[in-house]
Amino acid sequence: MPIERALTAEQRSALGDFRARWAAIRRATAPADRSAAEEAVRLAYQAAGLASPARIVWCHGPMALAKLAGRISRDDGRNLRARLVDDVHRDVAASVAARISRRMLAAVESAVNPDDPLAAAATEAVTRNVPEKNLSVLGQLRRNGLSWSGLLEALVAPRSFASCTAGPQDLSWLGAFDYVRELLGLRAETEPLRGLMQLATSVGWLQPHEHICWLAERPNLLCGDARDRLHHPSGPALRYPDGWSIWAWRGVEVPRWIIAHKDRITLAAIDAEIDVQVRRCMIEIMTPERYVALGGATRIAEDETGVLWRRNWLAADAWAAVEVVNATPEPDGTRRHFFLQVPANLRTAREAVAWTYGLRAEAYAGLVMRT
Amino acid sequence: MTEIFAQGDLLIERVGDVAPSGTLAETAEGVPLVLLEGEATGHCHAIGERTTLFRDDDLARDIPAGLYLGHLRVASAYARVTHEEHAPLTLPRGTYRVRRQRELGPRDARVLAD
Repeated sequence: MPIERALTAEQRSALGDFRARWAAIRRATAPADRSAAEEAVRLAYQAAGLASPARIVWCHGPMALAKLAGRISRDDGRNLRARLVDDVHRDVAASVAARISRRMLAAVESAVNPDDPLAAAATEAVTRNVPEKNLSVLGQLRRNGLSWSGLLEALVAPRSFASCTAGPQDLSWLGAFDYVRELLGLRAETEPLRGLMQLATSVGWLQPHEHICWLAERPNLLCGDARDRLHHPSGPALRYPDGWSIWAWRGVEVPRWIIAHKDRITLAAIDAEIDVQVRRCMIEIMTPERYVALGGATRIAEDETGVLWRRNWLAADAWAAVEVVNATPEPDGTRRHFFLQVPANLRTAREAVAWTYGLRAEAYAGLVMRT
Repeated sequence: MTEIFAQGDLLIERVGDVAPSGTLAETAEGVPLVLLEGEATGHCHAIGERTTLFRDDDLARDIPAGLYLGHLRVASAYARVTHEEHAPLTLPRGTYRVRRQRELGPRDARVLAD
């Protein structure tokens, strides 16, 4: 049944409130409410039919958590992420689906928990930066070559950080169940999620084991650009209370100095950078205008639509941009120049400008007026 | 050859008349229809005259993902698209497809909003 017909007007408008509430939870940067979180841990274990852990250990961020949890001993017991989170999720979803249709539940889920690119980017940045001792066999081979100790470790290792822990992104599905609990009155069905809901609102990451549960604080800084990519033009984009941080430029993680000391970005530094994405960010931060003026790029083609610039790096990748000029002059008579990056295989400026609009060069010839 | 009009990061191409379908938006009396809002500047491409904007994805299959803003039907003699930084654009009576501009992003193509 479509959600519009299944819900009352009041229930429909509440979807927006829950959506905002859970977006705020995913992006929260306030310190954790530790006593609420510890109570939540006990509730969550209980709901999964488990005894409360003997110890709860707090960390100032996921890196500290990964370091501590990396020294796990046999006495700490098995990892319980799947039982505590995934199994409970599945069971509750089944009992909710017995009361309302799965399609209705799916519609509520997508209305309350749309993709959150910023929360997803923060999660990805964390998991990418955790030193994975427990790489898969293939991962060990890729990283270290054939090392017997590495392969042995991979074969007997517990699972990776991402599958042992749960972060804000992993718990955001709770928003939909919060809604069906409060607005549709399915309290008994959603009761097993109370602990997880309280955990989601109180902590950053958790790694539950039978006898010990590690909890990490939330970030105290999380910044994105207008398209919700991790980004900060002058400081870290993501930072935890333990000081661990990520510096990012429009979604690309970059070395700190590129943002903290922009004046050190030179043509030589750009040429020396191996990572194509980082190199691209360096050009963006330096500005394409300056990059072109310093001789970083070569003029490939020019026509009435603009100028095509390109730079090739040892056949590995290329940077290409089309320079277009605003048709309307500024009040002082000058015109603004824009450098739009385009695929490097384009040959003419017209082709490049047409590409920016998703047109073929021939179709762009129909231009009657540009302002 | 299709007639094309461009205003900064907006491209408007004249198409044959089609009956409005899909999601509709109309200019209310005295409230301009905003085609595209600027991201950093707060400037926007707007139309003051009565026009109808509708989205019909079936009519935009040839436009790369994310660029299609909608079809615009100008029923009066003309409509003027205004923007703080660009000279106005006058569209004669007819139907148009409106799309935005993109550039190659860090991981893929991304849309622009000036």
